[in-house]
Amino acid sequence: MRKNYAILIVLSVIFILPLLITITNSFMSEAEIWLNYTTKLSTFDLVGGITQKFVKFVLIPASVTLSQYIAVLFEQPTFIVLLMNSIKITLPVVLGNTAVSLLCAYAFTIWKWKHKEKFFFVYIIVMLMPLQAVLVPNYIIADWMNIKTSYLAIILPGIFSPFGVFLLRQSMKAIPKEYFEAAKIDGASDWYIFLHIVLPQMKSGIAALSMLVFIEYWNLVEQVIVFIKDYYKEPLSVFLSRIADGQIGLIFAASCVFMFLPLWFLAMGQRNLEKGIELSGVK
Amino acid sequence: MASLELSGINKTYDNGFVAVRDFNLAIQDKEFVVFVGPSGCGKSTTLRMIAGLESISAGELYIGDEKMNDVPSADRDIAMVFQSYALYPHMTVYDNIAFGLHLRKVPKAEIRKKVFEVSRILELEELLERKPKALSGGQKQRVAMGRAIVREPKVFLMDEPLSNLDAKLRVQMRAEIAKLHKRLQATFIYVTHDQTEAMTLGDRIVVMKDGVIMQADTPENLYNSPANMFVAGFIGTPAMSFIDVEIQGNTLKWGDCEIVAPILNVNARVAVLGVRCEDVHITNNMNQNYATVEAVEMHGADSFVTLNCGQQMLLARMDSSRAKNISGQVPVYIDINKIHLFDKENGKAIGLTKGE
Repeated sequence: MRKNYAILIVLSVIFILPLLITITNSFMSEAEIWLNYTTKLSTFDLVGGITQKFVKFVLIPASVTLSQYIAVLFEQPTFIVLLMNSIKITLPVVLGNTAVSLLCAYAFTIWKWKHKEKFFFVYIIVMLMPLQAVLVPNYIIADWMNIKTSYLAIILPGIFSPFGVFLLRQSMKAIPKEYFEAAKIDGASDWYIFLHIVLPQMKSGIAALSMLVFIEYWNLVEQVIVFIKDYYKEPLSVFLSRIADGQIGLIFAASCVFMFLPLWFLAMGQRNLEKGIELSGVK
Repeated sequence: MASLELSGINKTYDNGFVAVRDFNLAIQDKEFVVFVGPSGCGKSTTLRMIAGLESISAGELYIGDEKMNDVPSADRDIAMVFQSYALYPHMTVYDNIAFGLHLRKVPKAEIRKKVFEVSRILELEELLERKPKALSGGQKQRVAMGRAIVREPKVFLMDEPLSNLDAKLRVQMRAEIAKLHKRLQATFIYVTHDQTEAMTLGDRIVVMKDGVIMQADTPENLYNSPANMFVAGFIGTPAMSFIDVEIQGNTLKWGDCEIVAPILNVNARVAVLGVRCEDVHITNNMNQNYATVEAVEMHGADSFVTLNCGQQMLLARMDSSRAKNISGQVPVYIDINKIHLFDKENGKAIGLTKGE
């Protein structure tokens, strides 16, 4: 038992360390960051004859200051604009994908129709394709639809992404079919059953899906690089990857602000997330 | 209220499996009919076809005078109680019972009146604000009944409604369902695999096997004159003893045992003799045979004695006080007026002239 704990503790430290460094360093002054992270330490490998360069990590700032946050939130208007861009992309995807997935999962779970399983198989195949493989066809279709440079090119594929259908179908299957049959005998329409019997029992599934989708689209990079050409239309996720060149003094506070929403959601809904994923049988 | 008629009902699934075959039955108004049989015999499928939850592959279903084959469940004026109760977990007991009435746009005040009336009948008044999670098995069962009753349907369908209860509660609820049937004066169709439930509740019992009706009759007739070996073995606890016999004139022979039976029109040389345990007497009689006691099972007032009679097993019921001292070789008398004889090939009952 003790050995297991030791492994767990080591692993936890490894996983938490980057997060911890980001948070503590966000209270560092800009000057200190420049000092710490732009000077590289050199070691000379005698055997290989190569000079390797390392950056030293500092956990505790020499002096604690809020200057980074003030700079990010109040002195850098672009940062707020980009944060809003992130929300503009993520929110429609989360709402749209959840709604579409719920309806689609209902049709796949409750309705009896021919070739249902075959269609679902296609869904799973699409789901298993890596993003990079789907990106090119996405681009071509976006070009046809003339939405190549707008958020719609990112939002529409997000709304109709098959993963949600899969996840929700799995947890909808856990609802006993007698509920639907009892409601049908009582004279309920599909729409009524969906709203009054399925939805209230899908709370965990909906919470899990919306959180997973939120995190995925909040951290979006590839699609933006492909579709969005204007700098001011980029979401924060892409901006963050570039902030290191030139504005490194703000990187930690910017990261913390960026992380805040996903972490807050996670904290709010962790129980639902676990339950939702458990119910769906996806592990 | 309503009578039902099922004529030539068939159910074939997409994969070709035939679940119900040529099911013919007329159910009278206010009758309590029980479908009974082992699992997979098609009893639930038949009930679900009546409910409209399964399509009817062939045949006709009438409720009252109206053909119902293609009428949606909601318009058949039926209510169904499920084995799992199917109480909506996010609704209170009140909302669960009121659900069907809300859907039918019954005015709120009337819904209230009806729900309270039903909850009084079923003693649910204290529980109306609770969610199903906070109810015991028996209470859930009552709520499920309440949800059916409140709609005042023509026909009540019940799919193994008591199977999820423990034995004691099951007996209690069984009595309540019988009381309810009397009070509501409605047609009940009840599915169970428990033959005791079927015997105690049904005005008429439909015994099914492999999608086919084996016999449909009153409990008394099923018990006293089973139409075939399956019904004979299925109805009654403990099950009827079956003995392979040779027929010689009016004498049935097996091993070193024989009895003289009042046989009518039998051409076969062999048959299966069926005897209920209460018709086997361990006592001296003119017609007696001898058997060895293999085991004695005490069940309170009665004991069941397993006898080896001519190398075949025969069960006898006797008073526990007498059974205590019984062992070894005993004289056995089989009441020849109560015996059953079945065709060895197809299991059908062979006509006997009874001594009554």
